[in-house]
Amino acid sequence: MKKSSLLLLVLLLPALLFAQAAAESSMLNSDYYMATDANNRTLKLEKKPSHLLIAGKAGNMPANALFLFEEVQSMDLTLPKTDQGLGDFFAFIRPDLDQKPRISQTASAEEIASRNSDLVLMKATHFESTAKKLDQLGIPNYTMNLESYEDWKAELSELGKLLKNTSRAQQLIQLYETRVKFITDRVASLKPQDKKTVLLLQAERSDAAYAYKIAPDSWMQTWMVETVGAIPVWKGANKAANGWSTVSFEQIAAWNPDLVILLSYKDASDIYLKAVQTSELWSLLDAFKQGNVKASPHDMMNYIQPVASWVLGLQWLAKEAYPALFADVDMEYEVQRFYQEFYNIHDRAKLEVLLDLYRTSVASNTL
Amino acid sequence: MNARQAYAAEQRRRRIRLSFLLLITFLLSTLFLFAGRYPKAGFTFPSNLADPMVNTILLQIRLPRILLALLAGAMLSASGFTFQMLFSNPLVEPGFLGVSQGSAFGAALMIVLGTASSVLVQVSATVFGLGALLASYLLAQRFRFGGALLRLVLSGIAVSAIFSSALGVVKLVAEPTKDLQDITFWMMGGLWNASWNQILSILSVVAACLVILFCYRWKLNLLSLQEKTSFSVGLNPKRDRVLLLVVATIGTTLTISITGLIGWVGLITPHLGRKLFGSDSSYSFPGSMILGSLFLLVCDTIGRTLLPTEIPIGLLTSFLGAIIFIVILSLKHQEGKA
Repeated sequence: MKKSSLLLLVLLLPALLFAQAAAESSMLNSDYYMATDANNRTLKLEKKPSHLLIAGKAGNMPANALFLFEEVQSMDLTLPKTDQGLGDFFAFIRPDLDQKPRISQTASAEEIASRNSDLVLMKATHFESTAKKLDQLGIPNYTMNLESYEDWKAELSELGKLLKNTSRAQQLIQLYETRVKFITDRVASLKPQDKKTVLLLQAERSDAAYAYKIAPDSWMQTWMVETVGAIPVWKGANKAANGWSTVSFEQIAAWNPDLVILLSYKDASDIYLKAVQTSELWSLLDAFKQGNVKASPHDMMNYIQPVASWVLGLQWLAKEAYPALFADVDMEYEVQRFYQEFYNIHDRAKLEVLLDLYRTSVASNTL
Repeated sequence: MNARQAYAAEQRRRRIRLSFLLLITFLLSTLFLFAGRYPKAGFTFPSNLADPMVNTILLQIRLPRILLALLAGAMLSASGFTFQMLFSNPLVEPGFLGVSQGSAFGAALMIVLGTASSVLVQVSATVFGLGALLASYLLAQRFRFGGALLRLVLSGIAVSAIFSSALGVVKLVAEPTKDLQDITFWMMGGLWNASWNQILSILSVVAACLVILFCYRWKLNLLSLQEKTSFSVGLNPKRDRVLLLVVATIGTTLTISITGLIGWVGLITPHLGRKLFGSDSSYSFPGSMILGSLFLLVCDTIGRTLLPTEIPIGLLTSFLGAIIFIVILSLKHQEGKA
């Protein structure tokens, strides 16, 4: 009896140990697909999402983050409109996206549900209007903010957990940190009196009339100017916390900045620069006289906004504000390196298209 | 003093008030020409005139903006006055009969369609504003309820609601990063974009509308009476009403096509005009026009000078207009008690 009990125990022990290991492994795997979103909700997925949908307006921002991970290549994607007006970067790197109809930016929860996706990504601003309804329907969804440098780092880390690729997330964060540190280290030695005053203006036009707007203090555009060691002259002026505010030419003249950057997210910024170059009013500005009114850089997206390529915008801004300090920065090389390292694009033809767009966007700055 | 002398004295007082208002408007316009954000927030002093930037700002930015405020204020007030008299309803303004909502829809539609031409936005706003007026008029003919004025009021409410919901649909599909902001800013109204070209683009038509309304102002008193009464004194009420409505609508839609929706001017200044000049439109009409100019001038000057960023003028006209409205109603109430 004792012998048989002992034999049973010997036989059961490995089975018990195997079961324990399997349970641990399962839990570990489960943790791997678990991440906390921008609205502080923890999403737990049993398997890696393969059918993914991006919902709502400003869908190009979560798409930007997602495409930094190679997992996206094997995913079946449904995207909203992601072309801001300068080209569709995502269809450019994945042409099959053009074969699939896009989902409306204002699609209802029911419409989203009908697409049977494993996961729905969206901007955190759609939490009340969409995410809560998807929760009621039991559809896994995940929100992202991506409005600041800190958001980018934290949310890439979480996205890495969700996609079971934390090493790539850490690599991306390090890539950003290295580039930002390169700039902050160099501008750290600037004396207060040597700091340039910079004005970023989002330009809009209607026929021959132009409007210029400034960003709120809390937005990434303001942070970018401060990070390159310059002084955003408009800081404190925009009382509208949630959007761009129009400023008059008088106010621009009163600020009298050293450097003016014209931005447009829908059009090529050089359109506005050309208008400024023929303006009697603008010709009286000191920045204009010194050739320091510039069009902002872009390829298929403007670099001076919270999309993945914001770091290129940061490098370009640093070089424009302090040319001597960043004389060794070759922006064309940086653009190429960015797409190789961040988006894993090594196709020469594709890189050349992006480089050409960048060159064209800033060509009129040197005229 | 007999009745004739009393009447002559009253007319003289009204002329003096009118001249005084004109003088105030001229003086304030001149003063506000020197108020702005450059070189510093506040007033531009003669010592600053040596700076070529100051001269350019005065002539190319502030002067056209002040003139546009005067013109737009006069037009909106004249239209409001005309509508209020024609409908014998003191709560009516140019936005009545769906005109404002129709114009807003027309402008928003063009913005979303991505047109870069402000002329197209102007044309679309005018066409849809007039379309709303026509729709209200035709609908009123088909209604089988109440008198002619009530039917028009009801059809105006219905047409306004239809264009409001259509505007909502346009805003829903608008690109949030650009088009939606443009529509929102346009609807808030503003003179921030004023230029000589803009003034010239509407000046001839708006001036013609103002002249026509001014010349017909004496008829407004008669047209505010019952149709039979106005017919008995030799007017053709139907024809005259349609003519004045169309002229007021064209002037309004053209104005708001470049200034955006500016509320309260057309509602509040005719009330003030009648308060100061009595119900005789010979004086209260031009008085309202000047008050409209003055009101918009003051609001716009606050909007462009108070903060580094532009304050949408619609916010200021609503705020100040509501305060004036409360004061007028309170005064009337107290007068009633007395």
